[in-house]
Amino acid sequence: MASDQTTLEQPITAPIITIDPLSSAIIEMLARVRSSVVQVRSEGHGVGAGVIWRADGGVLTNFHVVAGGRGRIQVHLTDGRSLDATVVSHNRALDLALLKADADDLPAALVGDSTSLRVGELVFAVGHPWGRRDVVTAGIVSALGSVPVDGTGKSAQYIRSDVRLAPGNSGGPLLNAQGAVVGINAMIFGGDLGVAIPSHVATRWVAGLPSRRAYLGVGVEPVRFPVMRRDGGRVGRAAGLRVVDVVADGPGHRAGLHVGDVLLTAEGEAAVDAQTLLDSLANADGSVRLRVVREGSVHEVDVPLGG
Amino acid sequence: MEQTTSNSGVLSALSTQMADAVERVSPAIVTVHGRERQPASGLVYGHDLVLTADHVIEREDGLTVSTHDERTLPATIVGRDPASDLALLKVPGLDLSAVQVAGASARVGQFVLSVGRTSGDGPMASSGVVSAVGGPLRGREGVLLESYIHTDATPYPGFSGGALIDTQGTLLGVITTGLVNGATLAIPTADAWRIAEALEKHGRVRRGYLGVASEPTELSEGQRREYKHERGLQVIRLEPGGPAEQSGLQTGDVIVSFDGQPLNNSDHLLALLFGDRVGAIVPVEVVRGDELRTVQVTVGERKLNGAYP
Repeated sequence: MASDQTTLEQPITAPIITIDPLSSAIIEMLARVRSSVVQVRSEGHGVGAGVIWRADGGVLTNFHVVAGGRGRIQVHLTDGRSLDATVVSHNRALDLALLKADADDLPAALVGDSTSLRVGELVFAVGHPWGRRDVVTAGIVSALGSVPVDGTGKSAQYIRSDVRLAPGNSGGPLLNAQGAVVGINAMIFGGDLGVAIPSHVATRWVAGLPSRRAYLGVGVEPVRFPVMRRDGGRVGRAAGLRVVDVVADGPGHRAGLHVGDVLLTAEGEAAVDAQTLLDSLANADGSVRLRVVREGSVHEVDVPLGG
Repeated sequence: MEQTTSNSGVLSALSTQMADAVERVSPAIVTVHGRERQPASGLVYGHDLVLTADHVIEREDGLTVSTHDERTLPATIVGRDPASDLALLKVPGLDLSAVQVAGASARVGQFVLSVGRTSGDGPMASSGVVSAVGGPLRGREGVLLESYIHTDATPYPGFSGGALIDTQGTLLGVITTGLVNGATLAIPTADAWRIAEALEKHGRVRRGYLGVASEPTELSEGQRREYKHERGLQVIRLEPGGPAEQSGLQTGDVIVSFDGQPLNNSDHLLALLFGDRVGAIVPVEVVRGDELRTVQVTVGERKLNGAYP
């Protein structure tokens, strides 16, 4: 398929249905899934696409669409609504982020089984390349494979397709002929276009997330280190989060965190602000490993997150 | 909200058909390891024979072929034809069924799939349509390919030597990027098979040669009426001692037909010489003065980089 671009705005007309059943089938399928595809805007960062994963506001998108954005995240629906959203969890290696939009009546997408995908199958992408809303491109599954993820010793599964994708397709759905989501379009592996994360990987990741927000029980504020200390190399970072409050008998308190400690990293991710700290906690499995500056030296502290 | 019609069945059926087509051709596509970088693809052409692109064979020794069932076997070169960018390999113990050939030639607009095997991860495919069917085409050595198929299906690295198939999974052409500035073309199966047969028989492709430089010319109104030809090729030079001169062609003759085929331009003549006509005695009709006469020409063998057709 020659990846011809069209928008979903085109009306369904009776004559097409009778003379061109193939096109009619595509038009009908896209009309069914359209309301489940959103635009994600991350203030100060960028714009991408997203898929409504759950009616209660769960929206799946790419990590790189929301990563680094320090401001407000908004989800724009096809019905005209714009909802504020927060990052519930993210996974940099999978390039996935789960957002919670402020609604509980969203039209969730039909999620297909990507483990049964075959090379040659028809697939369709819906996204917002270069900011243009709801653009459809078509093609086939070109290859199914896995690549090693840098520095993790793990590998990531992917779907390669010949569907034409552009920035703005990121986080949007790759659909099969039935209109079920079989992948989340991404630009991973060195910015390669035409790669999607299989839906079964996304489903498994979402299912494995803790159902409740992890809780550290400390109040923090961002701090910058004096230049001399940075240059000394012991800290290695310009900024961190200073503990300004410790909730009595909370996980942080039980693990021995004190007011005045400065958090450098949580689970290897830089502790830059409260939101990134929460994201790191959401990805932690049972306990979170913190690097903390206390009285001029760096300590590692494991904080069990039970309760 | 959901609207279901019989149309959705059409879409699913096409999708399944495309995946089935890839699955059907897949065992007849192998990986060819003949260069340092990206391996290429090849097609099972006959018993223990693999047809691939010539430009992906960068060494004569240590060639191997990997199969869909994860065997890697040593291969040797049966013959190479740089002009058409095809090479035939012998792979003892390959024991795979030959690729199934389409019953009809490619038509513009037809859905097609490009399929290669570029790694051990299974077949790789892209989709598109037949964009153009054209020819003849000048190849690297100035020799012509009789015809070619152009497609908009994405050529992935390593697709040279792979298959351009229809939605039935049968072969329309052999993919190559080695002929024209890296453009992706497919050599139609009929032409590719003719070349492969010559490679199997002779180890090379013998192309016909006349030793004639010519330019297209219109016949006069009177000649057109009399000889039933509109135009021809005027001989402007003859290679001394070449087949045409030896057969009695003269400078100034206007060649109007070759082996019964009317001629419009020199590419057309080249295309007619492309078949295995070396040594054949072929009737050539020429207008000389006011006369149409037939000269019997013994076709010579073209050497690469020869001066004239």
